[in-house]
Amino acid sequence: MPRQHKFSLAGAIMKIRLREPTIAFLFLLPAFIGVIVFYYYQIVQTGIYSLHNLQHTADWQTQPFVWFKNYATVFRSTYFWQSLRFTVYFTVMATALELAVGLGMAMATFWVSRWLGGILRAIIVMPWVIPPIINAMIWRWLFHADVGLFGYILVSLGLADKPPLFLTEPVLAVHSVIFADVWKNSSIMAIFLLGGLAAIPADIYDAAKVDGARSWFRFRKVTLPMLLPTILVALLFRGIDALRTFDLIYGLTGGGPGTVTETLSSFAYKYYFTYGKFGLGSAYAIVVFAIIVGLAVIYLSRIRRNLRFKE
Amino acid sequence: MFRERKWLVGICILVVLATLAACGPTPTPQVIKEKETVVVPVKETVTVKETVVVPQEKTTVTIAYNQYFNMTFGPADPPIVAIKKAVEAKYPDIKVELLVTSTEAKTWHDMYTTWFMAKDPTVDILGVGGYWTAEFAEAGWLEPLNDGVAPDVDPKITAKLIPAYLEAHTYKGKLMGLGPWWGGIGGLYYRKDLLEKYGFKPPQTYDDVVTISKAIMAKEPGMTGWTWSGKKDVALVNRWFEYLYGFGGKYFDDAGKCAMNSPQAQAALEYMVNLIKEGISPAEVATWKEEDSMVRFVSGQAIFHTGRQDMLFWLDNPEKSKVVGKWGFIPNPAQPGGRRSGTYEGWAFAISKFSDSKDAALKVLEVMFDFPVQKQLNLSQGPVQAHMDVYTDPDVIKNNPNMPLIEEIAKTALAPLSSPQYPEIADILAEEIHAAITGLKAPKAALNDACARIDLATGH
Repeated sequence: MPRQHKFSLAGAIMKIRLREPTIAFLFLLPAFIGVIVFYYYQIVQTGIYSLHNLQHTADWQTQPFVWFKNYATVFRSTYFWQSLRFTVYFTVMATALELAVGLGMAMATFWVSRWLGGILRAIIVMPWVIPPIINAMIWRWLFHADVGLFGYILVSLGLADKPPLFLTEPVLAVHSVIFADVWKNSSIMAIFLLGGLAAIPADIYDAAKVDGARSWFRFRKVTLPMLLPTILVALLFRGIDALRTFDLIYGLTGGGPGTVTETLSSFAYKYYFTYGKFGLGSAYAIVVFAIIVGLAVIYLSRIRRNLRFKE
Repeated sequence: MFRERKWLVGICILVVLATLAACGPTPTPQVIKEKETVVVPVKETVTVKETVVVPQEKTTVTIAYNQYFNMTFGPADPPIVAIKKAVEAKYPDIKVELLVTSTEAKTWHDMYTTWFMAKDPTVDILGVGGYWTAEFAEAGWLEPLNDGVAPDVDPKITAKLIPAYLEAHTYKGKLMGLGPWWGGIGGLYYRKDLLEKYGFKPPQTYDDVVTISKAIMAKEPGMTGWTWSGKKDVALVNRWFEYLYGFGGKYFDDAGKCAMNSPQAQAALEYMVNLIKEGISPAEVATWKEEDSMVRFVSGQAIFHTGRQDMLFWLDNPEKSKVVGKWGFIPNPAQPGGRRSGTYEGWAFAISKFSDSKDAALKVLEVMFDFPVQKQLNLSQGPVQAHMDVYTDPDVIKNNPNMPLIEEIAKTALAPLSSPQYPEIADILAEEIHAAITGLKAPKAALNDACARIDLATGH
């Protein structure tokens, strides 16, 4: 007697045999759709706006299509190129210093007793949790020409006749905003690196000690190479963040003196929200987006080549 | 591999079909209706009257303004409380609510842009800076109040408001808002005691200020000459306008092109730069916001200070000031051929084009600019108000003995630069003027760059 097969959906699903990458893809699908809807849709919309002459309206279907005129305006602007130079300099200097300070903080708090480490880490995180605009206010008072602490210290120590104009002398203004950013963001760099340090197996250090390696040698030959993947990822995150910096500098110098500390992100914001020129503002936003994506892609490809992340 | 992909495609199709099915209409059972006529005899009709009391639904009018609307600094309720009480008394069916905005003008402006873009109907009355009027009006975001189409403000109300202020909130012949409910006009504070001690009269020209400052600074070590707000900000732009007109310059020429690089404008900016170079104004002015800039004058360390009239009402308070009874307040100076000018920074109220309660909003607006509320606003926050009767009211003068000083300053009020591109123009001027006073650019180059950029922004 032939066996009768009763169809069952659950049974059919159970019989589906998929390879691991396919299952992973299916699990990622909802998030992928979410990203498309909530991120890429806006990018496409901004791209459409950037090709129209939109003044105080976002109704692009009724406004003139101007091809790449807005992009031509962006690239012809000398202020745009000046702010690009400043933003790149700010990013390089801030991330490099944050790495150095963050690494120092991570090393200082990793090999201490558990309770002390907890307290130190809580202290480290504090600057990072302060909102950027509040941070800017704090630093504005510290750099204040009349009542600022830094000016007072320099004059008290006899290093200056009168308090320096930290926020209006061009060289000082540039480095003051970098300093404020380093103070705030070194802590997140340290948190990243603490995670990396925890992942280094202790027996490697034990083996190095047995072989007579001293602490500086162990740092150079064990800690740094093992920490390198974490450092590169942390640099990528902080680098992208620094390229988009706006609020801290806006609160501290307002982009001054003149336009010396104007950042790339401020252009898109100003043209979009303050001037109501949504077409031109969108063009600025797309150009900044392209620069950041371009740099991130180059950086990631270099990481992959250098570290050979393959199995 | 191919088999797995087939499965994957199959699953995706199933998901899509299931989604479509879920979004589609739900199948309902078929209903066949059959009509049947039944005759029922009516015995008696009884009518029962029942009165149901339904509470009258109030129309909510939302006013957008910053946290100062919730505060009072004098013998009166905070503005929002005074308005609520007055509206409730006159229109019991209207409820007023406050939506607190940012106190920082730029952030505040950008909040409005976002609301207007979203065509938000929930905000009815907006507090607007005088220099935003043209921009918002040009964009069609404000409701004209005198265009013959409701809602139009009652002429009996506007007849009692100072015409110059109404003009400042008019764009292309249309009244876009009523104001100010509060505002400021720039003027010159000076140390009356020091000027008398060294035999000087209050300065009339900009050269006088330099002469007096140099003479007194030489005899009073540690004294600063002249303080003003020079941070890259709208306050710097307001000060610049005063110097510009004081030296005989103007915003635009007859063709609408930027005229702020004229010889008079260059002389004005060179004068500002020289104030810092010669040490009459300290280099720190380039970092000072308005509140920073007044510190030295209030603490008795400066001979002159340019600022709004706000300080008039607490400079004689010994808890806040070290120059009690030692100061004077006059219109800003001007060079021969120039105009003594104080930048008018009044805050008006306008009705949003997207409001869903425009008629009720107009009623509230009229109450806000009627005398009783205008007087309350003065008593709680100080001047300047649009209603002319406020300036002669005995209670107001008793509370603010320095009120008469404002009349002289008000005569020099300089209407805001009226342009739909004002925010961009103000940013350009702040950048270029700041570049000049910090020595990054020569005054002539800064003004030429400013005008080139302004003409590009305004399409000239």
